[in-house]
Amino acid sequence: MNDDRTLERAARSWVEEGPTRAPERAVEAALSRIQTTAQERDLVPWRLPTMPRTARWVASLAAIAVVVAIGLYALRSPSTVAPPGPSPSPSLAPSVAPDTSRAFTSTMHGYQLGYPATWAVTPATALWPVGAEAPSAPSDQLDVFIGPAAGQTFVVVSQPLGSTTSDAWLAAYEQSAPQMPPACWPAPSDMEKTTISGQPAWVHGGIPSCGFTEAIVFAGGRVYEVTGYNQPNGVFNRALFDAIAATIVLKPASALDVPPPSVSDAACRLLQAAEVDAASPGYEGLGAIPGPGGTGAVTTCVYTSGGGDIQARLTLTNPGGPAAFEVAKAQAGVQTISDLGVPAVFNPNTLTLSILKGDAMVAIVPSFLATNTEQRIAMASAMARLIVTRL
Amino acid sequence: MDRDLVEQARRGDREAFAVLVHQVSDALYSVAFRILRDTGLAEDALQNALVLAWRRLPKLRDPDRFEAWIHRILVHACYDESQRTRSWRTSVTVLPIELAGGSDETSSIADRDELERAFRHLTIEQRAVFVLHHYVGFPLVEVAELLGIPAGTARSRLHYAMAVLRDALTVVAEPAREGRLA
Repeated sequence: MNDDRTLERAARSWVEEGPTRAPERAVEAALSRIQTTAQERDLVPWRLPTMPRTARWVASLAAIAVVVAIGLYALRSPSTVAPPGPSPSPSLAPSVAPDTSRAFTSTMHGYQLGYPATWAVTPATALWPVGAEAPSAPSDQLDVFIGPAAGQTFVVVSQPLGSTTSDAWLAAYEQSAPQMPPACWPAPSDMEKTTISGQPAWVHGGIPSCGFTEAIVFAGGRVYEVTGYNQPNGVFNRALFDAIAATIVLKPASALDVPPPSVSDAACRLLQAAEVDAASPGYEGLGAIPGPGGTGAVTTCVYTSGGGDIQARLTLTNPGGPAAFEVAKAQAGVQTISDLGVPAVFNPNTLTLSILKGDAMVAIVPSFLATNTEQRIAMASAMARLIVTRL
Repeated sequence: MDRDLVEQARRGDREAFAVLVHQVSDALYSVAFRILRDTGLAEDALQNALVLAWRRLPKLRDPDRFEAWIHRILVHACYDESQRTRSWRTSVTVLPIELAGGSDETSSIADRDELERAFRHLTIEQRAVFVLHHYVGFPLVEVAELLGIPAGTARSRLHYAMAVLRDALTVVAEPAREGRLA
């Protein structure tokens, strides 16, 4: 045993023991992932923050070449080529509305949407941690929707903002792909603006040199990235992108990385202090304090202003919202508020706007400093529109 | 390895790559298992290596080097897997009882047990050199080239690995070891 030849023979004999066939499931899983994975010569800039540096340069130079070529062609034929517009997203207008009939709820990332019935979905099995760069495909952090056409993919992922703000997040996002031409990766102020689930969203990409169309949207302290891509180097059907985006309901409180609410802070998680500030122009406050009486299904949150004044008060009743709403609605003098998309009444005596969604009712008392009923309803309604998306 | 298949896959032909995958996956999985000593980790490393190989295939300059190239990707996937899970040192794998080498003393269960324990004390880099050289059969110079390390480093890692395994077998051979294997 002591000589090297014997040792080598023993070691070789031992190392040869063990499995010699790859499990079929592993091979099939890899091939399945490859079906939705681009080779690195492809432009997949929606994941550029994690692409190798050389790949970024290749992608950037290719995109620049396309832009230059288009520009030269435009200069040569000014009468036949339209000048580039601020929103270079070609729409492939279909003759019928895109199918979004199949529902998907992401328990990992906290949202739901509708997608085409012929598509396959692979839910995320891992979180996108706060502060981490966007995951590269393939990644178990992505909810992936794969269309029947080769390379047609739609992905959604979200992460908590943590200690950063949406503005700071967007600024970092802009800086994450410095080599990309502005046409694909413009400053947030130059991105197309739209709305997803009632929240402002920023859209970019959508031209062949980008290979992707992506929307960024914030809700409830989270950022969501919604991306469609069509490889190689194609344009994701914008009508389908918009149709799917229109079905998205953001539910940030239901994301897996959100700790279950304690009894007392459930109401406080409906709105951030900054959002209450924004809804109460001129009456900015200091922050949210969970209400002391929050037990059982009823919890409160008090947003305070300077000197101990109350900036806003929320009372969440969940479950039991419908019964509570019936009580609120039956009070004398209440006004029906019809532009919130959910049942809502305002009680001018208690200065309370009550809204109902599902099993939850939220009673919103805006700043008492507001000078008239109209102003109070406007403030409470602004908060209600945010809350509705989170119930 | 079929050079034409590699060329087709380089140009983005997924079906050609699938054929390649079926040709190499058994060998890659065998290597991954022997480095990681864990079937689950080996499956993950194999999957990640195959997907990464697909992504990077257009950058492979010489299709004739495909086999060595994909082994390099696999070894790095094993590195990643061992760092990601941090559980490979303590994972337990049940190996088949059938002995490859017959009934000589080197294939006794006690020897194998000690070799297994000793091997788990090697770094992942040392394991890779050992497996590529003694299991796959790559010459040490080629192992070094494949891993992107100097030949001296590869030699050093192999020397250390063999020393650790020698010590393990020496312990087996000593009567005093019986108490340790209770």
